[in-house]
Amino acid sequence: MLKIKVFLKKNKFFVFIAPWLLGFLAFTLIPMVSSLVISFTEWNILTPPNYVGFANYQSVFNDPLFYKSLRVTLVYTLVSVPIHVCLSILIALLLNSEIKCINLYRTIYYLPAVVSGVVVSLLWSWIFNSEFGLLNNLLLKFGIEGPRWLSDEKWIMPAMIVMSVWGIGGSIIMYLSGLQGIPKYLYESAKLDGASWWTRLIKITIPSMSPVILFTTLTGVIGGLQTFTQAYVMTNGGPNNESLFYAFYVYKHAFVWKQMGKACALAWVLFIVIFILTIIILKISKSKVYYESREGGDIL
Amino acid sequence: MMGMTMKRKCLQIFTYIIISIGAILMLLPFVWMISTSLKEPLTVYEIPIRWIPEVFKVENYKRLFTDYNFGLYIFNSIKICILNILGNVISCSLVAYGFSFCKHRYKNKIFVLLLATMMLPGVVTFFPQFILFNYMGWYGTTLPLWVPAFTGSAFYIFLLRQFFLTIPSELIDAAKMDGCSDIKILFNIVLPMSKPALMVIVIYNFMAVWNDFFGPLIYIIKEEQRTVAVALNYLKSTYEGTSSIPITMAASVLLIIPSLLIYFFGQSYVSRGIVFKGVEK
Repeated sequence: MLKIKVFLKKNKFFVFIAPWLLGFLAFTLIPMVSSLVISFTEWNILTPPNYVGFANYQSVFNDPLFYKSLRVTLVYTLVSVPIHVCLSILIALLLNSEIKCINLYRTIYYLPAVVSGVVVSLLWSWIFNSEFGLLNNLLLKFGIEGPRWLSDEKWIMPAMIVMSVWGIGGSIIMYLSGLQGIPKYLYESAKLDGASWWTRLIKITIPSMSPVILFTTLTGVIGGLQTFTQAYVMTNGGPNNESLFYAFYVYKHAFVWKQMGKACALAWVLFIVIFILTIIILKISKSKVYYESREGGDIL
Repeated sequence: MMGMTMKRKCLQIFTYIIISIGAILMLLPFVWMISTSLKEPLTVYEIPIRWIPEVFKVENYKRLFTDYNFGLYIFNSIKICILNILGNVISCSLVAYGFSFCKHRYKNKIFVLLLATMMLPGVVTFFPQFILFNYMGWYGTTLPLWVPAFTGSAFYIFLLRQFFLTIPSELIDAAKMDGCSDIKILFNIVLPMSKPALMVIVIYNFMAVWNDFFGPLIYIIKEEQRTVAVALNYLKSTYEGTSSIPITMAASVLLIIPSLLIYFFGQSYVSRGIVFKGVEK
């Protein structure tokens, strides 16, 4: 008994972090290793798996739909994330001005961000309805005949991106708090030196917010590449697979066609894509992100 | 000098106009959703759009409870939310305490590992997790939806640790001198001082679990265990097309009300920027 007590006291650190350590082993490390193993087998969950070597990876790289879903997902992510970042900064700048009712405005812009993905998808499939939907009826008021957003393969991706813009409130709030953290004297001295609005934006605001930009870009890219709900609820991947988001394609392999082996192989390919993109973003940002030194601010 | 104030005024009006247009665009979908949810099935096909329905069909909401069992689904969702919040608050507090106030050779290395798991895409772990839960016989139960919360979550642990580190270490040392055990220090000193950070976790966790779609979609098979988010999707697919629009919109409104309430209730905590102090780094 005493021995246990001494042991616990000596390893206090591990006792406290035990829950996370256990979860890390059970829900992250072991599943990751086993998914790597499963990706080399053919398995329908019900019968025991068969080792098939690289067959799943071969089948992935010979699958035209794999390339299509990867392209769809990358286009969606690489177009929507920069749009989100620019719009969020712009709106955050506007919402940072000292005008009446500003809190009300901030709340309004944030509201869509708390809405569940299923609701967003259902609501927008109704908004995008080509005859009775809100969007095309509004466009008609301006004399524009709107396209068939969800059934025209040329318009499905713009529709998805438009829809995603509705939910940028979360990053607006981050940029707002980033803006509020910029010391006022920087602007004042820049003004005294005769710096224009644009110069102040480029030389002070953007560099000061670069950590937030990095954070929202990274989480945006990682999240965007895993888009699922829109495809599942709204389009079922169509039309002509133009909204076949990668995560939805993996889901279909795993749970519709019961091909766990190929699903795991697909998941690992996505992991590598995400990993490479993350490294690229971090590399680019390394020279550009400015960290203000502040007390106790370091991670470690 | 006069020109300066004029210019300022113009700029302010310009800002007002832009953010008002944006705000209207942000709100329109909500108004449209509420308006549709109160309509008769056939009147949704009226052109031009009638924003205020002729008759307010509140019955759409009543039918969710009488015909579609939404009372039970709400109960299911709340149950899973509470278990998740409980699990995360308890375990993340313990783990964050370990990372903040205990000493160990490998502490920093392990913390980097924890941060790395935050960047790990869910897609990679999700499918093997499913296999694991299936193997354990948890498929078709709600266990996979809340048990993992009791092992904490990297992001919340990170937030709490950043907050714990702002607590003066003299306070902790003094308590230790007085013979307080670590658990006592955690519950009597650290946690009461960390209420804002805990609130942020409660709010974030509630929204994440309440809005979660993928988890319940995969793990729940029985109708009586469905959460609201999943039930909403089934409601849509039970009668695809035709008269389903007002009732699915009513269910959508129902689904977002709790998130909105929690947001308004916790707004001050979230916007205080606790989250970002840590995240920025």
